[in-house]
Amino acid sequence: MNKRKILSVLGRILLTEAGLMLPSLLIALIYGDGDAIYFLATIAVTALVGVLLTRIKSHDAKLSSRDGYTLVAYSWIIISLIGAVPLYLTGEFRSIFAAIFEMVSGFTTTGASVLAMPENLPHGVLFWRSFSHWIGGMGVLVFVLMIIPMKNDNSMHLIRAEMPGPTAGKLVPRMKRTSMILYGIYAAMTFLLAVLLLCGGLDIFDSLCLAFGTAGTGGFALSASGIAGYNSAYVEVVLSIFMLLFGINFNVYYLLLLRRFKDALKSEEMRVFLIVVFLATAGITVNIATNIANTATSLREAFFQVTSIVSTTGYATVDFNFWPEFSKHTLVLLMVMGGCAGSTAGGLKVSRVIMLVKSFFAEIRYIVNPKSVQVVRLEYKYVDTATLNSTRTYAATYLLLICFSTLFLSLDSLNLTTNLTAVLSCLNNIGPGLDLVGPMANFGVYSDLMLFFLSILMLIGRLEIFPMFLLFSRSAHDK
Amino acid sequence: MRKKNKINIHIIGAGEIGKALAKQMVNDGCSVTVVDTDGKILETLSTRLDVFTFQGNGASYTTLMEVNAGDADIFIAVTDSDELNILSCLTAHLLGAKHTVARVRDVDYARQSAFYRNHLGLSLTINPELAAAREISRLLRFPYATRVEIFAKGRAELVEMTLPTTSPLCGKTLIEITQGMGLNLLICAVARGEEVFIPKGQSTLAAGDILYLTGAPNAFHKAFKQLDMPTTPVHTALIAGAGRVAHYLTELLHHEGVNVTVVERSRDLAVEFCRNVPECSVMNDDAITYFDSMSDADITHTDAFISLTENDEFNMVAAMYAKSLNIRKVIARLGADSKLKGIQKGDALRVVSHENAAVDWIMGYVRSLMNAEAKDAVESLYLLMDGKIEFIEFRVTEKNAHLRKPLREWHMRPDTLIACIIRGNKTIMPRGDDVILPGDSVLIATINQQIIQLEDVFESTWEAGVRV
Repeated sequence: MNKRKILSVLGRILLTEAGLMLPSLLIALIYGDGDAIYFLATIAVTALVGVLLTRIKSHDAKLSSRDGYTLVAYSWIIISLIGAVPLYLTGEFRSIFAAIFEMVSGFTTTGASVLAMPENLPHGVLFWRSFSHWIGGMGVLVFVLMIIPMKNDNSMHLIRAEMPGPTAGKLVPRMKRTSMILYGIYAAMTFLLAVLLLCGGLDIFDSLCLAFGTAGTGGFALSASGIAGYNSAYVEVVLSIFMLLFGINFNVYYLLLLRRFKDALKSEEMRVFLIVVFLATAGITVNIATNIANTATSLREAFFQVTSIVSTTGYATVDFNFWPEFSKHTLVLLMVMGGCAGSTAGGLKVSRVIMLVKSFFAEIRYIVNPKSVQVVRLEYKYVDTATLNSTRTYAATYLLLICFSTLFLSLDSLNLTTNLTAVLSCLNNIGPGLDLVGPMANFGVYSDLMLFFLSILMLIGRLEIFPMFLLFSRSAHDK
Repeated sequence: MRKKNKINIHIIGAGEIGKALAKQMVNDGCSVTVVDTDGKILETLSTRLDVFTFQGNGASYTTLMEVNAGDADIFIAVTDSDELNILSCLTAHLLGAKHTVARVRDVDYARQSAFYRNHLGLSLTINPELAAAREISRLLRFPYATRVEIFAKGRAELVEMTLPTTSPLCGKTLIEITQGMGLNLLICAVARGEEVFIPKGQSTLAAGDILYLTGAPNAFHKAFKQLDMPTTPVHTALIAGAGRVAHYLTELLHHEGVNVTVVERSRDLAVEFCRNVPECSVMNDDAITYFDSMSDADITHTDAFISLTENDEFNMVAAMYAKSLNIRKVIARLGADSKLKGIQKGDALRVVSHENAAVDWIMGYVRSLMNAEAKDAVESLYLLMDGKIEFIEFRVTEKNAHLRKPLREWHMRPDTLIACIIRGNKTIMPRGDDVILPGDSVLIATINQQIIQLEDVFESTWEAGVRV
């Protein structure tokens, strides 16, 4: 393991994070809520340590695949810990674990909060919380690779570990340029959303924070009432549409930019994703229509919740805890599926679900005719055996993780619905669950130990399981 | 051509196709240069044929300079390597060769023949495997046909079939057939034993005759039904061997709505094939073993079996086995010079060779190039019965002397026949009152082999014209 190189890259990441805190510092200064000093202190210390770490010279610039994975895991832990400092300093959090939970929830774009009244936080911290969604959505290292020149180009390992989805690819030959294109699309769409929200009558601060939360598919609300508090059908529809858009693979947008419309629309994953959203919306609309007089309202509410959950954002306009069982069950299923690979959404990813379903049918055909050769295809190309195996392993590990995490949470003596949906919500980076962790409730019901555990679970979910477990394996730290 | 200056032809690669091409072209009176890396093959070739041989790498600039490839009227690269063929054609093209023909058979390259033609200066890319696959798919459409060729982009078809003993056509004269049965097909040529002739009105057909019929594609279905020859279409086909021919054939058959199953012995090849060709199911098994593992119902439901493995002997045995299981349509692929054809009894199996398909294809092209200066352009040319019968498709131009003159006033050679006239989308079975117009395609059948332009069809005025 190339420790010196990893430390020096971590130094750069610290410097980047210090830089990323500057907008929050600015907001804090503008609003003068008294949180500017927290940011100033954090930035100063982080930058100092960062500069010291970047001083470390490494003889060997190479990063192996193993180094890449460990580096990604460490970076995410460290940025979350540092990001939690200003939050903890506000004194609104009951313990450092609660603050860490909140920050991990921010960076992993989960959007689960321990606060009952987020509006009590100073504006700078509120902004930082939402901004962390935006950074975490596309990936911290993707960002670092974009702004900091890396002499050595083993950077693909880093991207592979950080990008959501079964496989990671480049759009253009240079990694740096790929990151820039991705962030360019991401920033442009975020900007567009913020402008649209501004037109809806929201103030600049709320528009920006909501746009960050939507773009990263995070979902931190700025007040206890969530999106319902704005009481605007326009805002809800705009957010629904953008949540859906951010749940789609960014390669599709790149193809659209290149004017390859046919190729973009051909994306199998996107089609399946949209079909699922359509079916779920239709089902829930009908299911909740009995309670709501107006069909348009039930359609709007169903569409908002479906896009919010399937894109793993987790904004809420209604307390779906009180919805009929079928609707709640549908939402839980959507939680598991999540968005498309290569988007900012979490979950199992649509492409993995497609592969798993197809390999199920392939297996059935194989049993019917043992001599036949079966191949699983995705996006009109066959999936190689290695990817298929890793997808199956991923799915199995994912299921085991859910089972054992739920079991572990049960030590806090809450009910099964709460524990199971809390695990699903954290592992898939969604935000709200059901029952005691429902959209209008918060994760404050859990003890500090469980909050810490759920924080780890969120990181495991965001980095797609394997990198975090690598940290626990001794071989990852061997020479 | 015999009547003109010698045409200069360069052939790179003295494989099956190269040798066959050289032989045909020497017979046509061209001066042929053959380049290959294998000295022994060249030595045998130069003793057997009147060609110039040169040992060297056909893609290298020095070699091509040495054999004067720039002077070639037609430059043909038919080595085993696609890349080498393309490169040597490119080089020859830049050196000044007039027409270049490359054998390109890789599936990945095959889709880009238009690009090669338009941007790399290759006049023609030929794909023997694709040619063979097309031939097979046409054979499958006509259960009784031993060979099917298409003319004028599919608006007319030429079918070769053996007359079965049960056919109502046996013992009838052509007049009886045309008048009595109202067939909208033309019997252009008949092969009886070694003898090939163009039938006249009084000619009688006998069982075992090989008939050459032309007509519109839909006319065949109707005619076969009338003649009590079932034309049940193929719904499911089994292919042995996952090679390139199988790849093209699967795509063609899938397009026609046929369910295709491919059996391949090698696991790796089977997986590879399954990945590249999504349109079929692939089994990893030996074809013969697979037959044994099939249920009776499965076998009854299999309409066709095509054996396309690399191994001629296996193809023959598998095909015969399939025939013994009563699979209706059985086709085997054999090498060009394989004598295995002879071991079958009767004509239960059809045999296809991709080398022959390629040679026919190139010869058609070369012949049409040779005649490019003639008044009426040759569109395509087919040699049947080992070259005893030729079918030539001409495109009629304004210059033709017989425009708008009814056919009954034409004076044609006795060994020649106008088989078909294609005007726009219409296929005309020529009768005495029909005329030809500029832009028509005319299909001529001849056993004379002296036809190089449409004018050659006509005899001097004192000789009697012959019409069927």
